[in-house]
Amino acid sequence: MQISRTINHTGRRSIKRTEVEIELGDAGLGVPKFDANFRFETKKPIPADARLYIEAYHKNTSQRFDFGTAGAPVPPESTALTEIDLSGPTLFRVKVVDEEGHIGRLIASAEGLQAKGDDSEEDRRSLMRVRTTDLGSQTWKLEFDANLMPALCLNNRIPSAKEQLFQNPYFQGLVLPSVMREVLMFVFWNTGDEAVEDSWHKAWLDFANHLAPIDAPDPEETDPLQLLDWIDAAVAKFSEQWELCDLLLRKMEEE
Amino acid sequence: MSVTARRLNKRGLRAFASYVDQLRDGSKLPAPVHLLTDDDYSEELEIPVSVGDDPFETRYDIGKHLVRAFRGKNMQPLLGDIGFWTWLALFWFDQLCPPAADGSRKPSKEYNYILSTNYNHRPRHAIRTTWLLVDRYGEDSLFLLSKKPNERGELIEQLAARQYFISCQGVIGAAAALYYDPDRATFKRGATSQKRKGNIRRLINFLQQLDLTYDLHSLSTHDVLGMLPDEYGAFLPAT
Repeated sequence: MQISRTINHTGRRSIKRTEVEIELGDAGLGVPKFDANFRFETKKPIPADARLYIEAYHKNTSQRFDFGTAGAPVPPESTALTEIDLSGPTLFRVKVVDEEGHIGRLIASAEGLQAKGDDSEEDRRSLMRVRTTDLGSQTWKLEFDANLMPALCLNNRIPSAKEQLFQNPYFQGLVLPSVMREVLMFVFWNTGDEAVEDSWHKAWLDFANHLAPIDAPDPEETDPLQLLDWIDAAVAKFSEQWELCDLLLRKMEEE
Repeated sequence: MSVTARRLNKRGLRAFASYVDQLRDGSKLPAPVHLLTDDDYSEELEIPVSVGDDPFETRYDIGKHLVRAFRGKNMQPLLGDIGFWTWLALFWFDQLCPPAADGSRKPSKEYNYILSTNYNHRPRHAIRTTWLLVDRYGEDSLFLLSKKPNERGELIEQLAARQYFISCQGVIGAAAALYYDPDRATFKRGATSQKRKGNIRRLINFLQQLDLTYDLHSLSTHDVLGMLPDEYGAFLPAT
């Protein structure tokens, strides 16, 4: 059974992504900072005197910024992200908090906001984000977030890692099938109610369904073998379509 | 004796990490304290900080010592300084990981001594987190830090893994009120018992639920205590 963060028995208003614009800048010494602009819709008004906070976060790290009141936001002196793990994408949470009546209660909130410019047009169109980062001795790994396309992180010690991924048959042949398998496994184990029309889970399922010569198992299917068969079939078809093994062999022969 | 703190450089960090590794393999070598002052392995800080080598009874005492040592100094540039925090861990290594009679030691994970670049592991650092808690919460952190310097308790293990909760004054205040026993000068019996109602794990579950509808940062200790279900009654301080 999935537990989702959708409990809302206090009538908390959901802040739409269009109501908050966050832009990243440079605070110096490689530390990013951000600017935030708020355009709260008046259809569901937010009390002007409610307190407004932004929390930047990545994984287990978070940093909180006081923006004054919802009616007249004032940015804090510094918005430098000095306490955030910057090895992955920084997301933002906006909170409008009642500090007058029902102290501490969330009046409105938004989760998983991404800074403008942090998702390129290419990112928006593709099924996967590709980043280079410090991975120690790991060559690559996948990062998942409910709100963002999966990120394929490549070790930044690998020269031209992104280019290698797009051009080098060794990279493609040895990495991409595993990536696809891992993403599909994640989607199946975590989909639950999240396979809604515009989610990345749905986009990946559509992509794999289009490839796989056999029907996708029913989402309620609990037999892991059926699921693995379907993923195998989709990955095999993907590898065939992109001639991953042939290209790798040709590259080996050239060398 | 008072000593001026320094930071380990890359070589020093590697040498200390290698030493901790060797201990795990059964080595009985003494702590490599020469790294602390050898210019090949460590360097001076821009901010002069003096620390003492007297024995501490508890982790809380380490935190108190550092709060005093850092008083009036801008510590911001040193907050994430791996070499500095690791130097301190090496300086007090005999207290954090004391040798047995035969010279052997049982080190904890490396990130308890060497400040990790992995932010998930950072809160496990024996010195930095201790200082942060005492600096921010004073005696309210006693319930987390009342053990000997070489011991980490279940309470801090549970809370340190949830950095967000650790940053909420009201949450820590409430947890201190629930679980600190001033008579025993440590946490209350049953606070970590999974069989006992109102234990620390149950509190974390409750806070995770509360976080869905409340902004935990905005809640005072009184607010959090007032929202607790009945099962915490046995831990609540008498009013």
